[in-house]
Amino acid sequence: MSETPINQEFFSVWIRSMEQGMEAWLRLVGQPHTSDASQFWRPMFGQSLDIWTQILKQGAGSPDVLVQWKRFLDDSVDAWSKVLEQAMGTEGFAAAMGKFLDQYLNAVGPMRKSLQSSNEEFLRTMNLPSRKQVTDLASQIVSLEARLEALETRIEDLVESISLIEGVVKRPGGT
Amino acid sequence: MTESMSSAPGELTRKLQEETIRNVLRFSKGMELVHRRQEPRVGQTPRELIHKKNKSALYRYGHASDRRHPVPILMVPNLGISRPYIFDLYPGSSFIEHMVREGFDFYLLDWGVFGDEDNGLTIDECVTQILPVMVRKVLKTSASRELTLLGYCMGASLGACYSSLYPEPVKNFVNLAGPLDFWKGGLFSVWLDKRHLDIDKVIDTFGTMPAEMIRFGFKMLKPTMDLTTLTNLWWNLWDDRYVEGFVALNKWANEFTPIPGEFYRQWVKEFYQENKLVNGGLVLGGKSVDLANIRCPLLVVGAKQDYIIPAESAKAMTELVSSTDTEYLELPGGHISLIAGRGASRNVWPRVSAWIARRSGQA
Repeated sequence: MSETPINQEFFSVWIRSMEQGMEAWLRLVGQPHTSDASQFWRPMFGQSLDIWTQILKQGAGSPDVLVQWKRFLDDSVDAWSKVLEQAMGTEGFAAAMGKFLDQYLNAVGPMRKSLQSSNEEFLRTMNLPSRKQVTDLASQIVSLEARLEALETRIEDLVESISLIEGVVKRPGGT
Repeated sequence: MTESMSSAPGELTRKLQEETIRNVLRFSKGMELVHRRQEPRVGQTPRELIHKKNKSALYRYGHASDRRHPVPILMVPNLGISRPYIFDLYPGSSFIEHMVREGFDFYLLDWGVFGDEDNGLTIDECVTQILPVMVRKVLKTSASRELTLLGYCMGASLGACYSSLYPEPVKNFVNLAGPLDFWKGGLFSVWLDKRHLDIDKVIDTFGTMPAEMIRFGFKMLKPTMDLTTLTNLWWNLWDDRYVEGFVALNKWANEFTPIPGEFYRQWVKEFYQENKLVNGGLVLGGKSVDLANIRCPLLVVGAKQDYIIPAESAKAMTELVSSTDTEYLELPGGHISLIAGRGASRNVWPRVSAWIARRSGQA
């Protein structure tokens, strides 16, 4: 198929948008500019192109086109996934995420604290136990349970030792 | 016109008919899935509660008549994050069912779902207090002196710590996708780096590692996962078996559970940020953890497309222990593909059970 000027124009617009997209991604993840724009998107382009070529070779009327379409979709998602993974695996992205989390915690932390203290105040006024009091009680029960279990284990050990000693004593010739 | 179209018009009609029927089935099954929303029945292999310690429970699976191997297996899964019924998803697609059928005396440690009252739980307690009690109960119940420790994901790391501190009762160790070299931990290694993440601030704010934050972290690892899952569901919607598996797996995949605060603080700092299992210096319960103390036969299974725990992070275990009988398997699939799904039952479980069976002769 020969390329018309409209196709060429469309193609150059597409390339430009991809280049701008790449620049945006690189800015986001804090990576330096690369001269070869296609390098960043190549995994996705390459696979998509291969699949479309295969689909066109098969002929659009074949019912297998659905299978091909599914494969195209899977491979495109896979390629996108690789691109995202590449972007998210950078120090820049990790730093940006860390900053976002830090800001979120800065906002949420004081809010949680004030909500907790007002809740506790309300519950105290109503003569009801606060969440902290209930969890403290539960923690005490847990530690009591642990101590009981430790005692149980020690008793089991002692019983085992006693039965071993009894076995030795009862054995003929044992003293 | 292409060759395939001109030579087989009958074939074309047949395929079109097949596709039309599938689409009708997709539509009707899709409606059924949306409107009926029956709770999938998971965890159906018969089991018995052997011991309970706070939230953690020890279960023994199968019946006495099924058990052929004298050495019991204790499976230690991840703590928090998700529920352990993934190992016993539903009949015909259950790792535990497979192991029971293979004649193993199989135990599962369910760490439980932790609440705010457990926020003080540490890795020290898990490794030096909970695990020893559970191992003891397994040995006593099975009247055995040794067992096979099978760790999955975080459970393998905890199990490795336990085995290095108490090597005597561990006859064999199996690591299924468990991280050991945390600096090879993929995206998590980058995101949890101490330069970017102030874990103290997170835990001091929430007291725990909330389930919602865990969900966010896992979704971020593979943002396209939900799209893939949905397109695969649509594609296979006509297939009852696929839908049954999807419903059960989807229930599990969306049921995140929190991690106790102190446990998570220690997990991130000492394991991910300082990589102490490899670099040394990990002290649990006052005892120094040295993986070189592990001398028992070791099987490590990594998954080729595992983006949660990259295979090389698990593989590192083979170089850290002193075992002479070590085997490493790298199988196709992802982190979950090792323990659930058709691929697992075909490629993974038979190899794991065969490896353990060969080493489960005498207790």
